[in-house]
Amino acid sequence: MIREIIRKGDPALNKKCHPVTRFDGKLARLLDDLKETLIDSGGAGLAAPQVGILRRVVVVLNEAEEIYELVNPTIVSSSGEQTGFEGCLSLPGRWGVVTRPMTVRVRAQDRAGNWFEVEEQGLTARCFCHELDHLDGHLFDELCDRTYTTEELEQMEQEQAEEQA
Amino acid sequence: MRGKNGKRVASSAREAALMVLLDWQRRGAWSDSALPGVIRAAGLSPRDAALASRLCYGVQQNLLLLEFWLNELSSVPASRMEEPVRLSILLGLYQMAFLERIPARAAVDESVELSRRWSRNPRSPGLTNAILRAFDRKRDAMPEPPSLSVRYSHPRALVDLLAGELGHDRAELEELLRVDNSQPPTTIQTNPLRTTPQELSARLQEEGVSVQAHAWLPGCFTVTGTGDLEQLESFRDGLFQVQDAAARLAVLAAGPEPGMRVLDACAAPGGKSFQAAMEMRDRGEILACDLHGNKLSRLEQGARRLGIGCIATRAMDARQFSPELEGHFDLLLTDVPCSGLGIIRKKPDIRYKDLAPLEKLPAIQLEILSNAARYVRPGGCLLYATCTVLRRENEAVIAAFLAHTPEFHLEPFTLPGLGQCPGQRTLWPHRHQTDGFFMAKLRKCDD
Repeated sequence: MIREIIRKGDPALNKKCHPVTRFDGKLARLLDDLKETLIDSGGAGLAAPQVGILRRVVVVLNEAEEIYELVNPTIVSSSGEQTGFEGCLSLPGRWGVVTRPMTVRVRAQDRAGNWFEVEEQGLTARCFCHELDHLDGHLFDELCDRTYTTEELEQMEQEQAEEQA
Repeated sequence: MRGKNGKRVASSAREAALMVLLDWQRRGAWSDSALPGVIRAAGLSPRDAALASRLCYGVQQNLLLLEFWLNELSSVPASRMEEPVRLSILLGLYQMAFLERIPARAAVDESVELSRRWSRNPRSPGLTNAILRAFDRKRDAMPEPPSLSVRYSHPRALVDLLAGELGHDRAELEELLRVDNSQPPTTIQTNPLRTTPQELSARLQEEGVSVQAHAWLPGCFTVTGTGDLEQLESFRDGLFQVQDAAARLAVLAAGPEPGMRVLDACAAPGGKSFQAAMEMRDRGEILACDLHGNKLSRLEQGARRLGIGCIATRAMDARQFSPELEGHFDLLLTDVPCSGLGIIRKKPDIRYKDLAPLEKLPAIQLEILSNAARYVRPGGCLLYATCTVLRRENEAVIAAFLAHTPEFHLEPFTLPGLGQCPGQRTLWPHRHQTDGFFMAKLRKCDD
């Protein structure tokens, strides 16, 4: 089922989420719904609090188009640095420049409760950081000086493209 | 999280094309930055980038015909399909019907795969496969398109408008529509400040570009077999600029000469200012103005690349009178905002624009022309140009202007390839192999 993505201003987005303790059918349904909602939205990652569920659960699309299901995820190591534009399904039409690690290793449980680790780089590493921040009630715009509208972003991209030309 | 474009990164040329076309359909407007952006993000090879670009242009150029075929072949109405699925099928149909070097099997398989990746409905890949295979089988038995509008994918209202301009000559109309869907060669103009046509031609051939001298315009070449022209050393060295023959002819009609003071009222991206500077051997003054100040830095870069020093820039609204410029210029260039119906072969999306708002253009064009006229010194000259073929934006604007401004009159001019022109001239893609273009030369009385 596609769930409604809540927007900035909803208090659920500023709360610290609780760890998952029961690996049951309800968790499986939440994960399925998160995946379906993510695909529908065209986003790269989605956290449970963005659909109003205060549990430590996120889904992240990697560059091979596979979806990671991460339950109770934590970052175990990170390295490098990348700076670039980032947006959020809960702040539609707003973009900001955020610096994140280039490589991130995450430890998490799957829907059956088994622990595993996954390491990713670039956009997917960025996405891990972004989604895990949601679980502690943080949004990306806390990490940038200002945000830009989609029009401003496109304008800048076009100017950049023209300068390169 | 959303990625920078709020979208995934394309994994193939066809997926890149699909993403750009989706963006076009969803937004309702073509964005020139979308295609290069998606290609860059996907890191496509030059070959795949060229294919992605051809697919985007091809589907736009043939949208109504492809939709007609889709509706003939599909049991599900196209309007009820998910957008990515519909576009995947149109992409497949385009490749099968128009791209001879792509085997039908590859076109089908790639579209089926796109449907799989972009649809949540498990039946979409099967539907895509069935429709494309049916087209492959029945290709020669497909019904004829019911009208010129569908055959050449120009909306009916636009076909009617163009038919009116061509005196309802059906054969000529069909020729124009056909040429609108062709791929025009890239046209470049020699920069005489830096080189000669002979040297430029030799240099380009060394760089692997196949160059052909334009049939009747000296210094002009058509080039093919190039990837990105702007990557060439000869481009960076400023030996040429990319410009259609029509725009150069308009500048030649205006007759800029060394030492003149020239105002280009709607200058960005700068081609006509540059051309005028070349004709003036970089001696004199050109003030290049544009409403959009952010476009001027690119214009300045272009001037530097071409070794032009006589151009200054200024952000200015061509409709607002600037008293300090009154009567100051020997020559005004006003290439006004227009419907762009003369450059459909280069910008295929233009044909799908809503025609109603375009009816407001003549009033704006007249306003710009009337304002520009005040900057011309007595005895000076004013060039009015558009890249459209509609009389209401061309001859009718000139007639309205002359009715209000008796101190101006049309002045005949002579052009290479076209000979003597009686003060105003429309160029047509199918007649002159140039952009569709209009130019009028107006002389202010000496008093």
